[in-house]
Parts: sequence; structure tokens; C-alpha cells
Amino acid sequence: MKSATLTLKDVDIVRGSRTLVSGLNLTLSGPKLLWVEGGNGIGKTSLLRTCAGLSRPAAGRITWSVQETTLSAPETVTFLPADSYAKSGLEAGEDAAFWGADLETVDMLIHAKTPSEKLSTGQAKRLSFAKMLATQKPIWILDEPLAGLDKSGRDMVAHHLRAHVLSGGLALVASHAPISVRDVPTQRLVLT
Amino acid sequence: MSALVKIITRDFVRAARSAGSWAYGLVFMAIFLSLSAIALDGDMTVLRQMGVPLIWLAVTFAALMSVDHAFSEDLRDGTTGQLWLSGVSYLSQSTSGILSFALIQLCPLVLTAPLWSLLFDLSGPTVWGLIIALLCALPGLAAFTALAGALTGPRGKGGFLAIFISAPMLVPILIFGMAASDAFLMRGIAAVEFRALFGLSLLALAVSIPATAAALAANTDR
Repeated sequence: MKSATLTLKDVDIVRGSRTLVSGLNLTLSGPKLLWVEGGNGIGKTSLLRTCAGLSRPAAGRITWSVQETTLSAPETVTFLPADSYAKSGLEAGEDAAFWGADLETVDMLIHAKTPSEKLSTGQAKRLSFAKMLATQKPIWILDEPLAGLDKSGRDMVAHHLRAHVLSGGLALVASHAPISVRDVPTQRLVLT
Repeated sequence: MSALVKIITRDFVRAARSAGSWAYGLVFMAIFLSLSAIALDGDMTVLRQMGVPLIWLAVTFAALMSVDHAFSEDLRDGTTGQLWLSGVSYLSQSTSGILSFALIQLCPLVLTAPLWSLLFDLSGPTVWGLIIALLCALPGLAAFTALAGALTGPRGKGGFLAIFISAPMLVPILIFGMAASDAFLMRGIAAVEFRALFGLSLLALAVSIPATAAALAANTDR
């Protein structure tokens, strides 16, 4: 995988009247895993959404580049939200197919015919993860990827994260649970 | 398969499995027109005169009632942002959303107009004029109501707010639509009112597609 870089320059993130992040400077290049920590409501999700290009920073600049060529967020980033975006009215297999995802990558093939709205929290998280895997982008941004998953689900996430980072990818992970992926260079960012 | 076709196909599949979404407007229209006919005391002379305007009003109100089905769910669950990240521009999402809304929510209202015209004892040519005028107005109705849906955003249930936003924009369509329906009896499809109505409808599309895209982008940034 081509080496990707995410650069934040003097980034401020404001929600309502609260400044969540002020003057953040960060340059991250793959292969690397950044574990974003912090209490509830401290601004982890807002930071991740901003890094994914889904929200604009109040000040500062974010750039995404691959091999020193600056690209747009949709060309480089994939985002796993904390909440599921499984579509009611579709079966899990149909929902996955819409995004070009393969349920086998997340051990969900037996649930292909299950209506998306009837999936458990963990199954819905696996479905979201399959959609994310299908994008094959060099920068992964994951918001609470372990929440709701059983042991095999957590192992599956760790396995894919390890493979992604070791192939040169960059991953930003916000999680209350410790992120420990074998042999992967991990950096911590604690929001206070 | 292009993203546009994929999104519309997905919306059709979901609508087919959840009749509640598209039948809502139809049920509203049936109740509104039945109550109107009862309120007019069943007087056939009055009913014949009032039939076309009442059906136009019913279609417009039913479209406004369906605003929550345009974009709000995709905005609420984050699908809009995910589609953008997967390379589907907000402009494409806006176009596919308006098309889906027109085909799933509005087409049933127009196609059942002949059925409702029985309530008002409308003549054949009057019904034809009404249907052709409604079809000409369909892109404009879809464009403005979908724009209202995108503006009210992930909150959904923006019923009254959506009505306040889109009602002023729908007034010209209603005026030209009524005029075209009447003009059909005199000059048929060649009546200038049809060209004016269709032109207005296309103008509404041209304005609403980028405006809806901007509203989707603004509502994703939260």
C-alpha cells in the first residue's frame, strides 16, 4: 500500500460554544496506528470526523496526501462511525453489496439474509467494518471499533488493523478500550 | 452500476418492503379529498368546479407531508457522509434523492389522480389536462420538497418547518399548474401554460439540485 500522510496544522474544533481542540498540530504517516483517548464528550468523535473531512475545523488546515501528492478526503480516507448505518428494509447481504462489501471478511456470511434492522449491535458493527474494508483506502479512521463486539469480533478488528498498518497504512482509532495490536507501531493521543 | 442508479434501486427496494413510506401521501390524499367532497355537500355542480383545484392542493399537501422521506434518514444515520467518502458527490446524492422522491413519493399521487377525479365527476378531457399538468409539475414539486427535506436535515419530522420553507416556492407551480389544467380544455397540450409550467419545473430542478447538495454538505458537517 502507498504511504499516506495526514497533516493537521493549527486545528481548532468548536462545537456550539465549546472549544474541544485548540491549535492541534499533528503529522501522521503510515505505517502507524494512533490511539486517541479521552473521556466522554471530550471531542474524540469530533476530532475523528474532522480528520475524515466530514466536519470542517473552526480554524486551521487538514491535508491528506499519498506519496507527497495532496488529495481529497474521499480519495484517501475511510471512516468507521461509532453508530451503525445499516439500512432498515435491506438484508445484511444487500446492504453490504450496496457498498461493495463482502460479509465473509467479517464472518457474517450466515447472516446475509438477516434484515439489517434485526442485527445485534455486534453484528451491525461487523457489517459497518465490512463496508469500511471494501473501500481499500490508505487512511482508516475508526470510532469505537471494539464497542459491542465479542472476543472473536475484537480479534477480527485487531487482525485487519494489523494487516492494514503493516502494509503501510495509517489508522486513527478512538477507543475507551485499550488498543493493542501486535507488532504495530502505536502512538497515543490523549485529549484532556 | 452508477451510484445514481444504485441509490435509486436501493430506495425502490426499501420502499417496496415498507409500504408505509410511500402510502402515507396516498392515504392523506384520500382522506383530504373525501372530506372535501363531504364538506361541499355532495353538490355535483360545485364538486365539478372544485375537483381540479382540490386535487392540485391534495397533491401539493401530500408531497409536503412526505418531506421526511427525502434525505432525513440518510443524514441521521450518517449514510450521506459515508456516500461522500466513498466518492459519491453531494451533487449526485442530491440528484438521486430528488429522482427517488419523485418516483416513489410523487408518482403514485399523480397516477391515482384519475381515481380521485371520480369523486368529483370530472370529464375525460379535464382528467387528461390535470394529469398532463401534474406530470409537467412533478420535477418542480419533487425538487422543492426534496430541498426542504435536505434543509430540515437529520432532525426529520420537520413537517411544519418544511412546509414554511417550501410553500412559497410551490405557489408559482400551483398557479401555473391550475392554469395549464384549465387551458387544456381550450387549446390542448399546445397551450402556452404547459410550456410555462414545464419551464418553471425545470428551473426549479436547476436551482434545487445544487441547493440541495449544499444543504446535504452543511447538514453532514455537525
